[in-house]
Amino acid sequence: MTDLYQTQRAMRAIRKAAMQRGVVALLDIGSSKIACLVLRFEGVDPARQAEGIGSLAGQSRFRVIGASTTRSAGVRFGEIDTMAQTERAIRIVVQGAQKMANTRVDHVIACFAGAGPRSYGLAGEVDVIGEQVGEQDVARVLADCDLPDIGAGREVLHAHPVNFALDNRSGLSDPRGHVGNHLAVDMHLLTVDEAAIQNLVYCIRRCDLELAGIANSAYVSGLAALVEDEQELGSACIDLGGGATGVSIFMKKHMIFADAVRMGGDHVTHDIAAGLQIPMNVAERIKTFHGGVVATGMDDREMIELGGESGDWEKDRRRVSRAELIGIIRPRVEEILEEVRAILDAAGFDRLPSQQIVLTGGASQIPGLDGLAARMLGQNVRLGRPLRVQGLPQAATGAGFSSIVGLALFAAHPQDECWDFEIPAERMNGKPLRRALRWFRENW
Amino acid sequence: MRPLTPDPKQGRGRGQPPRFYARRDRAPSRLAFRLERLWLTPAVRAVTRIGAPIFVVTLGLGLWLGDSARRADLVERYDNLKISIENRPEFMVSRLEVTGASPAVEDAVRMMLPVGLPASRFAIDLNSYRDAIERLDAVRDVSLTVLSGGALEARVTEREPVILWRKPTGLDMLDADGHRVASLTRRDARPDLALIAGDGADKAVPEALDILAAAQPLLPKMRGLIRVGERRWDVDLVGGRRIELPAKDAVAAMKRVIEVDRSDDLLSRDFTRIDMRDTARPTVRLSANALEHYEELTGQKPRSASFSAQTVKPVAVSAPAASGSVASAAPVAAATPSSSVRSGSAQSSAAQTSAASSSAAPTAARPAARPSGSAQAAAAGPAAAAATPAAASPTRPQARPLSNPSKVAP
Repeated sequence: MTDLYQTQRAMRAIRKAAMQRGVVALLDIGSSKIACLVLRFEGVDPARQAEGIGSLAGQSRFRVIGASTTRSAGVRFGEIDTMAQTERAIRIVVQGAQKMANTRVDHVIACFAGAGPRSYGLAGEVDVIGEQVGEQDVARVLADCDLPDIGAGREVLHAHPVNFALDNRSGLSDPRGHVGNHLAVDMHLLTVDEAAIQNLVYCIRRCDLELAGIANSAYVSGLAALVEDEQELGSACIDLGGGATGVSIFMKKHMIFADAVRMGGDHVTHDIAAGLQIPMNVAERIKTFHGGVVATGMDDREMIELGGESGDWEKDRRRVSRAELIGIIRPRVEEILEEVRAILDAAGFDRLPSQQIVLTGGASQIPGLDGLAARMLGQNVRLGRPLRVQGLPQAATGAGFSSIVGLALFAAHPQDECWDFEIPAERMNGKPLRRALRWFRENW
Repeated sequence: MRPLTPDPKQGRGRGQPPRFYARRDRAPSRLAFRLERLWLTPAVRAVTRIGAPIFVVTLGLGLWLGDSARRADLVERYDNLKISIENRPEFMVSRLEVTGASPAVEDAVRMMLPVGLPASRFAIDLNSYRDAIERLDAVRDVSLTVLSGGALEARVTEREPVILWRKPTGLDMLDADGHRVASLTRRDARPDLALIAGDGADKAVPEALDILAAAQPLLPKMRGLIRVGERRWDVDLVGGRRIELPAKDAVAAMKRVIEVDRSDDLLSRDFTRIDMRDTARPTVRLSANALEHYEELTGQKPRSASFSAQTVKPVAVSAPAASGSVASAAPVAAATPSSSVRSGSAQSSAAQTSAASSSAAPTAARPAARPSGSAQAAAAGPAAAAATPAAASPTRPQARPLSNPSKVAP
């Protein structure tokens, strides 16, 4: 875990350097599109800082100065599949955003949906040294959490201390300075496949960029699409992307669970293309223009021209009714939502005080999806669009940009992660010596 | 059934397949991507857009100017251009017009012009030229204007000589401020101007002019004014006689003398000095002859000529003497046959005055009936008596009782 600890700490340091330089790029690597924003951080107004949180929920500190998006290539199920194509796509968006921002960006914070995220709930408890809880105590209690068997080839992506309990008091967000004897913590650990992260690091390094942070896209979508009381009271954000559907559950402003369904809008398109025997791009277009999940009597009469260049007149002049199209789309959407339902059930979502469900992501724009989701997931369903941030182009305000906007918020105000605290002193003991011995063994 | 979409084959070029998607964005090559990032680096941009052009221009200029012949050529061209512009006919001054100057001054002004005409306007340093002209004593003020027709106009205001100053070295004409205007070789070249002398006389020219204006009636008898000790004036009269004026209020003293002269014919008496330096004690110094006569007439034995010649008797010359002057005059008056009589009102005194003037014949020793309604007249009475022993000879019974000048006028 210490290696990961160091990597994550290094990325935090890079992020800090980027903030100091004032410009950072955000990269959302999705299965259907890759988006890039360039943020410029302005100096913190000391008067505002004194109040705790600045105006516009602290967003006045940064501004989007460049934005670019391109069709994704080489990404499947939200993870990088073909490195060269993905690298090229990253170059396209970074170059476009740099050009718009008219500045050079060196640091990138990236997010992706796939790689099999898995949540773990961890708990740790220690006795407080001294009277008051200090930084060391927090670090110790975080280190006391037993790392579960996350499996080979897995890597920790997020490790949020969600809740602190001091003696008999629970629900503390920050125990530092409290007087008590026994400190306990609940930590949420999110792991992903190590290979996915390594591929991402490789792609970004090939573009001469430095990685300043990685985030799960379900998590950052929740940051952008859920309003504050939803995050506080408990809600699920379902990010219906192209190749993967992310599910994240928020409670008390912390993500307490995240998972992903390896299905998304691209599968719907694939179904249409297969069902109607048309090319993928035509299927995508028909889905975008005429798609839906609830058929009505009118839909039987609305005929859709399929077109085609096969040379076979009969094939090229086919028409389908919209009802037929919905008949293809709906089962797949229901399948996705059933998977989501299963995930939510597994996560114990029904035990949350508020069970708000927010649908966001590009595929959430299918007409009638909210009705279908309400039937399948629960009554409190709404469609969510990302928060408005300064300077965001109009074209990037749709539901499909939830994760990149959330990534901007994540970049500006990262929540405390486990590696933001120092490694407790007792664990450090002897370590430099061991490292020095290893260095000797390797080099002599 | 209505189709929802237009026929995809319409609206596009013939033979072109329908295109539903925008084409894939073309990815930049790694090199292009790196170059673009390099170009977006602020330092590189600054160097390329500002530094490189400056470097190239500086290098080019440096190489080109490295050759001294080129440099000289460049300087020469510049000078030629400058000269050709300066010598354009628009900037040429072809003549000098001097107005308001006498011929001598005009000649001097023309002589002083630093360049020969015609010359460029830029070749004439007007400021120094004006300063040079103003350094002429005869010039009070000058203004130089370059007129549009190629003329340089010098408007000269000359100093007006109002007085002559005789110095050991010569004779100068001064203006009203005491500034030298010109020298004279002969006094009679300007007989209309009064003469002053003495060290520092030029610094007190305004006062001298005031005194001269006040002494208008005396001018025929006057030789000039002499500055004494750089502080006060003497009026030099013909015959070596002098009126010594005080340092303060010299004009008032002069007026007093004129007034007494008008009433008592003071200046035609035989005296050497009239000393007005002490306003409270004006004094007349008699000549030796007059003193002898006086002593004879008053019955005093002349003790010694030299002593009597130096005897100075106080004279109350004028009316506005304070009552204190009565006291000072009294001992003198006691030595005279006359005595002051104080009497009556102004009316009676006027009557007596007219009577006295009609019977002025007998002697100066006659006790004058004094119009002594005022202390002034009373004070003046004995003084006049004391001042007139010279006239006491039987052959020149000139003494007249003092009275108001206005009443004597006929």
